[in-house]
Amino acid sequence: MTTQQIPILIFLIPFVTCLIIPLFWNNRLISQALAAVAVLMAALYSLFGLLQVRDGSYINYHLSGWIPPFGIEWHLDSLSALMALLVNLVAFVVLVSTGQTVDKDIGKDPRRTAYYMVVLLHISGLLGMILTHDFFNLFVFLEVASLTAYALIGSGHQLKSTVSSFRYLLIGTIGASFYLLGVGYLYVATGTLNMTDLTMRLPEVMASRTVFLGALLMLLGLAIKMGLFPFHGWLPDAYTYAPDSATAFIAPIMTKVAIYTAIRIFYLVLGAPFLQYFGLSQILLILGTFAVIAGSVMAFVQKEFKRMLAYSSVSHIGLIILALGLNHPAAFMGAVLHVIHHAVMKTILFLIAASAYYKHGVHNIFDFAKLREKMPFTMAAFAVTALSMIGVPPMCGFFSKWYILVGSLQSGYPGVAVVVVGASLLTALYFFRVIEQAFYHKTPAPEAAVAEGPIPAVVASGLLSLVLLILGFYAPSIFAWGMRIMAPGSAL
Amino acid sequence: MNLFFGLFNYLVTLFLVMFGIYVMIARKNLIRKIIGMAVLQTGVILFYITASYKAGGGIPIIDGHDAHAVVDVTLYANPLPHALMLTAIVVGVSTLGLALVLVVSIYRSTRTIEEDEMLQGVKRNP
Repeated sequence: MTTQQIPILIFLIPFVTCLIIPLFWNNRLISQALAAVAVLMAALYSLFGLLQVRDGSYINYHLSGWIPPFGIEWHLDSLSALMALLVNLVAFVVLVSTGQTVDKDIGKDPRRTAYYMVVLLHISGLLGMILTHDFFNLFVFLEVASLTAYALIGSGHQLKSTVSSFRYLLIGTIGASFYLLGVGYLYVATGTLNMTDLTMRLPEVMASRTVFLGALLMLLGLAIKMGLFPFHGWLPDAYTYAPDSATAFIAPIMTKVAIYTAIRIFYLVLGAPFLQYFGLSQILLILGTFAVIAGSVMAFVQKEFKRMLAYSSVSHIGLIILALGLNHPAAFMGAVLHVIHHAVMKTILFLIAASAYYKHGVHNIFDFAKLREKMPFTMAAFAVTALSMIGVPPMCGFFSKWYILVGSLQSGYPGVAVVVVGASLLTALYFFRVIEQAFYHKTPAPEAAVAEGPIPAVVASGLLSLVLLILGFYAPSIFAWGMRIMAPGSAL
Repeated sequence: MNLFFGLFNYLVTLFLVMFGIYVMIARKNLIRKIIGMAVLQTGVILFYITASYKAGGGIPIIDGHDAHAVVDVTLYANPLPHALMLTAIVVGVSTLGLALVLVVSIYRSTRTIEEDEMLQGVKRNP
């Protein structure tokens, strides 16, 4: 095997497995094992690809041999390999640990088999978004990932999940249409859809308002898809009412891949000079600042655990966008690290939400008091993750926020640094509400019988909270590596 | 006046996109919302097709089998946006299908496709 085919193989493994799964009808364990093995293999291929491109090189794959810019090109560089690895690993952990939750939430076959098929199709769509280097191809995969996400959110028994899925569908389609319109503007201005080609042709049309409007429309579309604050209307309902196992899939990675797409388009394709020419980075900075504050405040007043986590996502997405708006290499790498760290942390938190509801029917944070005695391991993992979300030093959440802070101070926005610190304090506020309930609340009648959630979920959340420490340990070296080869202005 | 007729298709695109979004926001009926969504997508498709239009341009099939002859690009319309829009139509159809499935599912539970009645149904029977 040559390394040339790695980009397409990472995509094809989950995609082909999706078509194999219905052959093993009526057996959840086989569907689940197949899906898990497929994403694990895709993760191994991503890791192999990452090792190949870790020195800043890249691998291009031309679909059916058409030379770009005429054909579609797939592109694996350090950033996309890192994102593909992240998506596959998160998907693997969630697939392994939500077996019983799926039985309860989704129901019997054929719904269950269909659920695993849609999950794999969703992951294929996300991997396509990550790996493609063609604007229209990106639109198609964006819609594949979105359509499967609507299906996953609507797959529960509750009427509310169907309604929130329908609402997400309407808003998401507006986003996708805006993105497509933006691609059309760029195509009219430059005559190309290939990202590398567009980068080369951009200097000629830099000052044209068509390109600016196209970029703005694409930003609008992606902002809807990533749940950036004024466009986040679909996100809380979708996360809250989706089946727990589906939320654990969608919440950590779907919005992160949309952010990755924004990073790719605005920083690696259009480039920082373009962003500064029309002040797009200021727009990102302002939007991010509002999102951080609004998301944190909204998270603070929620009663439902999953809804609080959803608003916490809104706030952290804002933090990432704010860091991108700073247009500074350190802040850029901080944003990339925060994408990774936040995805891992949200996986743990939504797995904990899933097992708390699965075993004890708890989804209100004021009922967490009774969980400390019953689910000690899960609650310990929750405490570690909450500390990481807040940004307590040994954990990984600290490092990404620290680099964003450094970036904001170095690029001369001390006000933004105040917002970042304030957001951490607000995060502390709304997570301490839950921690206070879980650990410092006297339960009237201590029932000591330990009843943990499904064992895979407990093991996964425990191991992942250790991973938070490991990620924190390696964050500085990943940062140094990324600053060398990934940040804009370097040799990428 | 020339501006109006010269950019007529783009103005229609603008109208269709804005009208589609307006219908999706303002109408309470779920099917009408879906129709608004389809109108919005059609507007985007019209934009691409208009951008590829060329006065006097034909379909891009080279006449005869003279592969070495010089091809005059002014005679042919750009085929790429058409191909892209075929894909976009397919995406639109699948979105439409999923939206209709969800509406049918909502109708089965609440016996209504009006948004306000549906929300009352959600309150009664979550």
